[in-house]
Amino acid sequence: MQETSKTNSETQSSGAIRSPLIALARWRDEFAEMLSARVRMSRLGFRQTWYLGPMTLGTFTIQLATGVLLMLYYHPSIPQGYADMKDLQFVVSSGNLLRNLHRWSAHAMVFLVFCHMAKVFYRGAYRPPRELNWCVGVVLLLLTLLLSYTGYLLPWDQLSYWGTTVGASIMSSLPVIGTSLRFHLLGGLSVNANVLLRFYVLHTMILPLLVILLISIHLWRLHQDGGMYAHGEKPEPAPDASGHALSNGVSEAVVEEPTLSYGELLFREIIAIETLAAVLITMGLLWNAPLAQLADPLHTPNPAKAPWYFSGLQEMLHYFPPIFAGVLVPGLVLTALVVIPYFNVNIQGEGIFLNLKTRSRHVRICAAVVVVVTAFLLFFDVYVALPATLVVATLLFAAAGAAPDAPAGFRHWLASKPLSFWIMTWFLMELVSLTAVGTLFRGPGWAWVWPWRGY
Amino acid sequence: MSLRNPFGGVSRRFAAASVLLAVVAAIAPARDLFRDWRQYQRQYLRLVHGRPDAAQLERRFSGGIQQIWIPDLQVVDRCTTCHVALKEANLADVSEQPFRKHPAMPHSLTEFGCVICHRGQGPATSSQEAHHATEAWEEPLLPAKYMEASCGQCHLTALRGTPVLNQGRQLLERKGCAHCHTIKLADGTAVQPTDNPPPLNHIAEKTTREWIFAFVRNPQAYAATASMPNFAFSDDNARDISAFLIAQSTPSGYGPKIAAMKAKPFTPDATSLPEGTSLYGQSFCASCHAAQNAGGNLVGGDLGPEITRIGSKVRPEWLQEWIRDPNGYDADTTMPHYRFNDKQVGLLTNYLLSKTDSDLLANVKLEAATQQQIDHGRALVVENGCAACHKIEGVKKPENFAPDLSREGSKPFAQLTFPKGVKPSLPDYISSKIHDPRSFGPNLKMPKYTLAPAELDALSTALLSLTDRANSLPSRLRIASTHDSRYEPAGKAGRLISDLRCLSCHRINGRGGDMAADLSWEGSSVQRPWLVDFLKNPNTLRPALIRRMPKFNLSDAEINTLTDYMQTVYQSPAIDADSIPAGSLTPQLVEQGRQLFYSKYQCQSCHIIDPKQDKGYIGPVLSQVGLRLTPAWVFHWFKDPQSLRPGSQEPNQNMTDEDARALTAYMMSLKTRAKTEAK
Repeated sequence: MQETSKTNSETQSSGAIRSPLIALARWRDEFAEMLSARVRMSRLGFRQTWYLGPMTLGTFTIQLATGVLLMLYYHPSIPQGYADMKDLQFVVSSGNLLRNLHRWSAHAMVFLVFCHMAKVFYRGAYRPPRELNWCVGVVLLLLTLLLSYTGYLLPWDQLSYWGTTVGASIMSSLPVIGTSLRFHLLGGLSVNANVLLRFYVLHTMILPLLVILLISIHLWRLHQDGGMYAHGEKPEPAPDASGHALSNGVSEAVVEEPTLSYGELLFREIIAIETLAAVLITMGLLWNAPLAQLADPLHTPNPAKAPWYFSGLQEMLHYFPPIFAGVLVPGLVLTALVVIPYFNVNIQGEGIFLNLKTRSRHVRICAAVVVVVTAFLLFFDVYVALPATLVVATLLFAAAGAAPDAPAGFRHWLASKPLSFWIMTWFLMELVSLTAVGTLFRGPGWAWVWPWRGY
Repeated sequence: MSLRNPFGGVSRRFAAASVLLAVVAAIAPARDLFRDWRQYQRQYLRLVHGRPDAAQLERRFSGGIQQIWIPDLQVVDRCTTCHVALKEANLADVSEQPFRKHPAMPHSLTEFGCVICHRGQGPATSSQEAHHATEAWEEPLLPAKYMEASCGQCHLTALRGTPVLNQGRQLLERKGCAHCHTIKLADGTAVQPTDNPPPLNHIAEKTTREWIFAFVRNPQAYAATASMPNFAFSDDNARDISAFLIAQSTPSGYGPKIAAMKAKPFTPDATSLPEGTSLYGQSFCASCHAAQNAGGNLVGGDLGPEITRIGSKVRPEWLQEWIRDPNGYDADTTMPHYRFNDKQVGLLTNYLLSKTDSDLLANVKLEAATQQQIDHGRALVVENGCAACHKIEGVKKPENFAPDLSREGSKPFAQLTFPKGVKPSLPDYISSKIHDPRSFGPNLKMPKYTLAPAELDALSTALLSLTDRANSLPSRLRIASTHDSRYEPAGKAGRLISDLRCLSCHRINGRGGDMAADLSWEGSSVQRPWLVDFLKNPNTLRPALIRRMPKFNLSDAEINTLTDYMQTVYQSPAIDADSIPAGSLTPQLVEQGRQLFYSKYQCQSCHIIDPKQDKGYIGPVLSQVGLRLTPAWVFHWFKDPQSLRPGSQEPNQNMTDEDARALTAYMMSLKTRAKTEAK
């Protein structure tokens, strides 16, 4: 039991611990404070946050529960791991559901994490004092992807083996550190039984513990930063060291009276999680998690695809050399994500077309950028990236065409969006289209196929 | 929000969500109660209930998931979960699946499980997953007609119970697949071709360019049983190939003689045809060569090429020399060296050259070849791998010309293509590929072989036995293949035996053909005078056969050499020639033997001694066996026939020494030639 550095403790004594009971009480207080005891009703509406955060946590909980149950039946060895998949499917009671649920819940978690990130971004809930929480969230995003990647290998079928191999190859394309990074991830030069064991330990112990720790910090920071973000909440100047009070960051005309959260917030979160669980279980009942032949290092399937959340990267690799697609773009994206809350232009969030003085300059810059990007894409034959670019360009020009003093409407709303909005929107749309193309529209030899035709 | 119900609408939504979750979560455990295999097991109990032996069957039944688990073979077979009655002898009358008893099989269920023989997915407990190819499992059940392929995974030798597999393996050798494809068995030995394609480096001496053109266009138009496959060459390509083959031809050992004979051209002589025909018959050329008779039936053996139209193929001067001495043209030929005199050579040549087909070359008009055509012909020969089978001047035998077939039985689905109309399964792929190789895509080189449907099935079976599992099974389970020894008879007799190609038909010391008897112990078996007589004039023990030992016209000196060698060297160590001295075979013993022959052992049911009363046509006629066989051999024969001739149909009667001795005496007394030979 150690002295906490927080000064928000309600108990007066901040020195030595008087007795174990008091210490226990202080622990309970700390824990309880992580989950806000009180919350504002206005922030509980479904459309405020779509409950994406709790749903992500819900999928993670489902993963923990199903994962532990799966661990009862799974041996991380070759070929026993694959045989265990068969046993789950054919012998274990509800084993099929268990495995399917774990798989669909994993996909849902990755999807929801991206949605949650987008929602937080679009609401502007990254603005100070929430920068640290945003960064913790970025790390959680990476950990989620890593959890999914390590788990993908465990069935040891052709999809697993080759997906992992392709993913590791993309990683090794980093200059200087790439091969070394891959060596340390795999613990060797190629995917084999040792990698299976390593990924199993990562997937079932190390990464979940890290994620649990970071989720705790994430929730605690959320509580510190003022709870669920209200729409229109203005950012605070740099917070002082004296900590928080519940009324931090509120600039509403009327101070709303907070209410007990256990009934309202908790119930609503549980409803969201239960509904999500019901949907995922239904998916698990209807659709089987894919399982191909036992992994065969001698026979590469054609095409060999990375897991779906990396297939956007794989699609990019089709056009650009690995230095670009495997390094620069992901690196830039990550960096950009992390620094979003530290740039003033994001914090202020001023619409790029609203200020008359800068408007025409901004319009010219936007036009130039659109032309350059489109030319770049056409030059490299990256036609799949064009639809998203053209949509964003159209919206941009719709926004640019709106007169600043025009009545409120869609164009005016668009015009009020800051630069970060446009960049993030373009990035998200490209992410979705590249991932969709890489997952659904690519066949043998990475040639274009129509998904309903099959190959 | 009132105090009484502080949560209002939310709790209703919460209740709804909770109920929904509970209902949905309950579906999967409930479905477990309705799995396929539970239905089948209940059905089985209902089936058994009404039967008289119900109590016994029910006692032997165990519910739940059943499996056969053999860890060191990686076998986890849950077939017995649904197929509950596999071992129930009492249920032999039940015919509906999955309750049928397993038919009699050489291995027990628990020895190897099910999947090693039947394929399919062992761990599965649903019928779709267990029997059929699904996304996660590529090997569906093996169709029954290919079942012997599974035996072939461990049994690399011919088994009596696997005739289709044996035939398939033999076809792999005899059709020459191994010339282009590498085919390694699980014990590391490679399949060797046994089809003896002729060398082409002296082809211009043997035949004409027109014939080569016609043959290369369609081999089966020349001879229906030609083992050369059809490459579907166009006229232009065949023209160029024939041009190249003639151009690359060099003179053979016949060289000067051919030139000399060209000076006196051959004239057919119709009057000597009958004599030639009977000489052909006496020489028993039909033992190796087949020809279509007047009725259109193919008569003769398949060790040598079909000669129905040989008159339209070979040059007369070449044929004369060939009959006189085959070794001068091709030292590796399997054709024996007959000792024909000039007159006989002339008769045979005349007879053979009368076997023509005027339609064969009627429309073949070839102009003189240009260098460009010859070069193109060479390119075609290289591209189509002709040198893989034939010796061709200036073209090396290609390495790894065709895919390795050593694991063909486990070929992954991702590597298979299926043209229209071919069912997407591995056995159908193999069968269709052999049947019509070029339908699988453009630019394929495999030619089309003429195979009967049964031969096709046999070949597919043999290829399906070459699996990954066969190579990964523990070696203690493998029964290694047997191969011919490299026996070469030595000395002067050895050279004669080579020259006469005895090993084409006979087997000696583990090497040779199976058309005729194994001669490894011939010295212990037969009496010298008989052998001399036989070599001078081979009559037969079974006149019903068309394929018989030819008359080689050996000189007396040659016959003596051979007989001395065989009598001395080809002895069985188990048989002591002096163990049954002639004096011990008294007349009383002979009479006793005769009684035993006719009364106790009823040998006349298979053998004839007196054609008037014996009607046994199964075994050889025994009326002169006393002149042919040695007493010691006959005695051992009676005691254990299969030790002297494995696979013989002679039953082992477990005779006492006395009976055997008496019968031997009787046999040795039979020295009269039968007046009429059985038909």
